Amino acid sequence: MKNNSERFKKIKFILRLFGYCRSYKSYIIIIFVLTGLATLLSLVPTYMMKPLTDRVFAPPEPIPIEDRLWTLHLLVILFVLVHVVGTTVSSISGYYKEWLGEKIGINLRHAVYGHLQKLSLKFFNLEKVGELHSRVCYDTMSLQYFIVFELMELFMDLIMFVGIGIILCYFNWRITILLLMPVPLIILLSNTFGEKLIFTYRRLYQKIANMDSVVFNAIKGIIVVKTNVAEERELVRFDQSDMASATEKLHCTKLSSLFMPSIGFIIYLCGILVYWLGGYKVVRGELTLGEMMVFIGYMWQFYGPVSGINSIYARYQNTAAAAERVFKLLDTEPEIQNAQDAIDLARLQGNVRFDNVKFAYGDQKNVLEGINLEVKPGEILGVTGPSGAGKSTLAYLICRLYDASAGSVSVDGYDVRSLKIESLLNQIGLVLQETILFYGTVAENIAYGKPEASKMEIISAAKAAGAHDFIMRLSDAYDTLLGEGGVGLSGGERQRISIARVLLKDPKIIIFDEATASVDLATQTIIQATIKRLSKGRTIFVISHHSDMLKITDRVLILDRGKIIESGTYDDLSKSGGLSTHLLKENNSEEI
Amino acid sequence: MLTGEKISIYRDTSGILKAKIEGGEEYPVRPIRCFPFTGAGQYLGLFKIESDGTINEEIALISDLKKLDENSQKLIAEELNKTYPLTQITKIHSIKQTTKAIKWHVDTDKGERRFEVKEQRDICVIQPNLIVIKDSEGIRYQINSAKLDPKSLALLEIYT
Repeated sequence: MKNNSERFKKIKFILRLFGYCRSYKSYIIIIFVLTGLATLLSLVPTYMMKPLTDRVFAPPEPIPIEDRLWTLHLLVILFVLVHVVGTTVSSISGYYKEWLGEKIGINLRHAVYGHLQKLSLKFFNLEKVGELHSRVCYDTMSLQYFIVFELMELFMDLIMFVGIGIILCYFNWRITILLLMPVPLIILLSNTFGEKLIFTYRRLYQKIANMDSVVFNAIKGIIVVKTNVAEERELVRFDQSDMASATEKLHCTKLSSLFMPSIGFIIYLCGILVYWLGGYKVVRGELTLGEMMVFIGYMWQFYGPVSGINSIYARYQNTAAAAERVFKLLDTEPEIQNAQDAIDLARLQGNVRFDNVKFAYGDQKNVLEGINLEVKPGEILGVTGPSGAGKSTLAYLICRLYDASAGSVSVDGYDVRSLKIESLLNQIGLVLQETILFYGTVAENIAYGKPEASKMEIISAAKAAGAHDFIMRLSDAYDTLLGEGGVGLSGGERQRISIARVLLKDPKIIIFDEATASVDLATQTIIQATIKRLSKGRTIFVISHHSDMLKITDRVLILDRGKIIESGTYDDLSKSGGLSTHLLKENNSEEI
Repeated sequence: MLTGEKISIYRDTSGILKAKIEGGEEYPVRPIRCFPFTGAGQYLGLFKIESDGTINEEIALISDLKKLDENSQKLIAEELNKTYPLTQITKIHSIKQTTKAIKWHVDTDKGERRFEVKEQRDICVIQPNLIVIKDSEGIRYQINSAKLDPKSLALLEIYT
């Protein structure tokens, strides 16, 4: 029962895959016609062996030499003609197959990558980068290959199989039956090995994805790798995952090399039987030499398609596995979505409120426990606390990167879940400790959140973030091309570009999440001045455990284990000892 | 930000480019384009130059060169031509990939040129239609692909 539902699921995935071909129906028909024609033409030369043998080389009855030569000339011309037409048709259909494959591939990748962009942060926290990369790039490619090449090959094989079968039956049905004898055995073997192959291929893809993850992580964290002198360990990790995928690949090869020779042996045995029986009939004059030549020629052409048809099962299984992974991803609902009646809030005031907010990652224990908080526009709120206290989570709930498990987070009196995500995020700026710059010019990086920004807006944002001066000293100023991650810029410079990116959106709520943790003192001073200047009419959250950053705030919250344990001005908390105790603890733990 | 109307540019007797702000203070200056490729005629930073040639703070940001008087425009244009000797490629005759370099044969606004590009990364797509190429001697060429003929575009396609 379970097997049947599994099979049905696979068929459903494959049928769904065909949905991506719908717009190319007419091209598919043309390709099928051309492929069919090319396949039929490939059968002609073997058939011509009969007149060539029986009317030219060794006629069973005497034929005048002139007639034999005339037939020879005619056949030579036909051989050339069939070859030229066949090759031309085959080349044209080959080109269109590639073209169609790319079109379908682009559609698939667009759908998968587009959907990936919509998924929530929680999804990305649980998935490996390498695996997602595998879905978008490799799995889609294998689906594209299956539709355009493997199915087309199956079509060609079927034409060959039926075409050759008819011709051979016409000559001698008894020998044809002999040729068909191994087919049930081949199907049986395909079923047995096919199931095993699919599971092995699944494991192989998993191992390849794991290897991708190792490479991605090591390259992304190359600074950590180098500063920890972990190159050797990374190499060992890579070798292990490489070895695991190589072992799995060998396992696949082992299965295939058991499977293919078994089939090959059966086919070979049948071939010998054809030689035997056919030879016997030629000797007895029941079959002409030309007919025997045709039989021998078609015999090997006949088993090619049989092998092709039988291996389609394994290929189908493989594709079904890739389709399952791709469609599973496409079917993953974004956890955070716009409500049907979501409100498009044109301009925020910036009043942020938390009412008894609780939050947990999945089934784990609560990261935030009943947070009650109100922050008004014009206020700079400092948030501090030990690592894992829930500081960043608090900020992410305002941005709706996560949704509260209980209670509500509201902005200007609206529950954030009732607002259109885009309208909310367009008015919130988030500056992270880790600066993320993309490959592109400085201007493009600043205008990332507002691509339509004018040059003047870009310059103004850079000036406000204290970035303009150093940008103008870059080789091509705002047109300087930055490498991935902003290679070539200092940490402080990268952070100032990130701040400019946020300021360009002119958000009413800005969150600085440990934004000065990795920058030099000069950048920190610039950021502090920027925060002070921006606070007019805006709501600003400063998440930090640096006293210099907390000093510029109007109020400080100390979070611990998801709860607000103290709240007050920096001076009040310093006097009460709560803040200094906490900061001292934090700084000491950092020093350690 | 100071606008063009309040600044006049001149060369002193030693040939040093100077800016006079609102008819008062004068500084030796160097114009720097904010967007040398994507907005060459717009947004110029005028930077004060120290006697040793080091670039000091920005004293003005000019949104449009045309806001300056004609003489100032001419002097700035001269200076910018020295700083940004960018050659515009108007037609591509051939691009040949060899084992050591990519060899270009092109027509430019300054005549026919042949040059070599060592690395693929020296061909930078700044914007979809804007490509900047640095040759093996550090000379930079700009291509506005929207203005290229189909044959040149086809040659360029695989390198961008």
